[in-house]
Amino acid sequence: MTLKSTLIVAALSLALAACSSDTSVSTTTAATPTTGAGQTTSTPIAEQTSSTASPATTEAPTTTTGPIVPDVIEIEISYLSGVVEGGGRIEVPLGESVVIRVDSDVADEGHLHGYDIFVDVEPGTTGVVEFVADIPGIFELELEGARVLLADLEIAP
Amino acid sequence: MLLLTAALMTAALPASAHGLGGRADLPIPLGMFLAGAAVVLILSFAALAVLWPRHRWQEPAAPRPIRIPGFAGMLTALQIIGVIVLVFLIATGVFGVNNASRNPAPVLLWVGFWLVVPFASALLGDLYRFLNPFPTLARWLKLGGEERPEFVVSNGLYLASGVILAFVWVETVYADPAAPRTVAIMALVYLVAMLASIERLGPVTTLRSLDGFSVYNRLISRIAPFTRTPDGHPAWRGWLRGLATLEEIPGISLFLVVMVGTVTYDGISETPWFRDLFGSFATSTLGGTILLVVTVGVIGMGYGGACLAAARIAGDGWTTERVADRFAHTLVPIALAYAVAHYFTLILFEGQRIISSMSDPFGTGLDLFGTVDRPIDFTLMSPTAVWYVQLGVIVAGHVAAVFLAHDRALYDFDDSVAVRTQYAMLALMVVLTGVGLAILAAG
Repeated sequence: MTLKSTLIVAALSLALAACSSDTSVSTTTAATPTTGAGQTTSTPIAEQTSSTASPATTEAPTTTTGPIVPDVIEIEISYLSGVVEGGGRIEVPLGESVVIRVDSDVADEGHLHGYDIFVDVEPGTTGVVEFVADIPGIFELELEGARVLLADLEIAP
Repeated sequence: MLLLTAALMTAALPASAHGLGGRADLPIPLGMFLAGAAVVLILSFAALAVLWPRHRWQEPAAPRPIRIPGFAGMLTALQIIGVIVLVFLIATGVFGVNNASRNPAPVLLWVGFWLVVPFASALLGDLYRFLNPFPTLARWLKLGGEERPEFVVSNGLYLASGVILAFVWVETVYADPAAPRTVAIMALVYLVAMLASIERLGPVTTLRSLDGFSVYNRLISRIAPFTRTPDGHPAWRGWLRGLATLEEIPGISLFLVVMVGTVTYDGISETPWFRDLFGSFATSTLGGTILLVVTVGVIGMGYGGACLAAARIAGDGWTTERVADRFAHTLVPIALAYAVAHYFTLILFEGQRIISSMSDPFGTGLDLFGTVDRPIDFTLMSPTAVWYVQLGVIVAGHVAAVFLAHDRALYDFDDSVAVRTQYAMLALMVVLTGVGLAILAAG
């Protein structure tokens, strides 16, 4: 048995194992309808986020600079008395602009992994994270000090 | 409305070395992938035990020459390119803008030199032997002392291991490895050290036992099917053959343990498990240094344990050290697999910065190729596709290691015990595969 044939057999068996399991839910592509980046519609943002996210987490889109500005996805998360509200798994279409507002009753530092964005949060002020979601994947937003997971942003086309 | 662009990711180079791009949801639970990988390894081992009863690779077969017109010219071109790139790297690192996303120097070092060259060498043969700018420059400057073969014999690869460890320390522990000034200083310091060493100890001595990067590329290139005949012509020897006949050099075990351990540390230090366990100790310079060395040590103990078990079963005067040196070559595909799995996204994504940074290499406002504002395209490969590449590479690397270990065992040990000596080695491979995959899935 040569090295080549063994590697081919190994590769095929891995591929078979992977393929046969693709019938289960693949969660890397958003199943919800999305608007492409750059389109402006009056569709409420609620349709763009997964139904697994907590309700009432987002507001209607705001446009401030004219008709060709893409919709902005706004997310509000609070961490009060040790409870996270408005977070969890949130689906975001690839390429959209995102604004995340974090309210916390403890002073801490929010960190969006992957994009490597840090924001200070403290009681009485709202920490704001703004970015363009141009890297696909699943990214954690966590409070570094408390080691609390605020949200899992799933960014996919 | 303010839009923050991806240019904010200036800190993204080695600090989050393998974590570029998001992670993927795995379609089946991670445990099933680990079990599947373990099954592949065990099946390969069993198949070898039955179908590969005699060593096949230990006696070097004569490589088959290949005709490549202009081959000698290509090698000379590589030498010249190596020096040009070094000078360019130092120049942009010193005089260019000190911003990692705009300056080509960090990409050239951390992606080009550290990743692309060795990975290409695994396919094409030891490119660095010619790209290495330091011996070329030494020749041009008429530097070069008398060779010291006794230095090579007594120091083996221990000093070279230290060089690699120091390099990875900068990459993983030092606060700002991506800064162009940091890169320039590293290159300058190493240039002076190399030239001094070549002058005092001779070029071959330096390359064989001090220059960690020469050693690294030389070992990795043993995987490639291409080699050169003694009179310098290109030749074909087949995949992995160069490794099967690798002579044992003092310190080779340490060198390879450092290779595997440093990549392991880079990966594991990014996992939530590690960060929860070590907290702010891990991010401090002292703590990071200690943990890096400890991780290398743990890998060393794992390998040492497998070698100890093999020595015990083999009997016949075999010591752990001797087994370790005789089997160190089996770690080379693992070291390569770990490096590729952890870092290929860095080439894919961060490597794109070379396109934009070359348009304005010194930060003077030029736009030579019209690409100066080109953002990184993170959609080249989906996180799921990345995972499957990582999975395939890690499993393939460990299967290759099982092959090499089996063949060497048949050569070194009595037929009656050869397969049994490899049980512990197989267990080590399964563990390394599992740990490697778990680290990648968690990052």
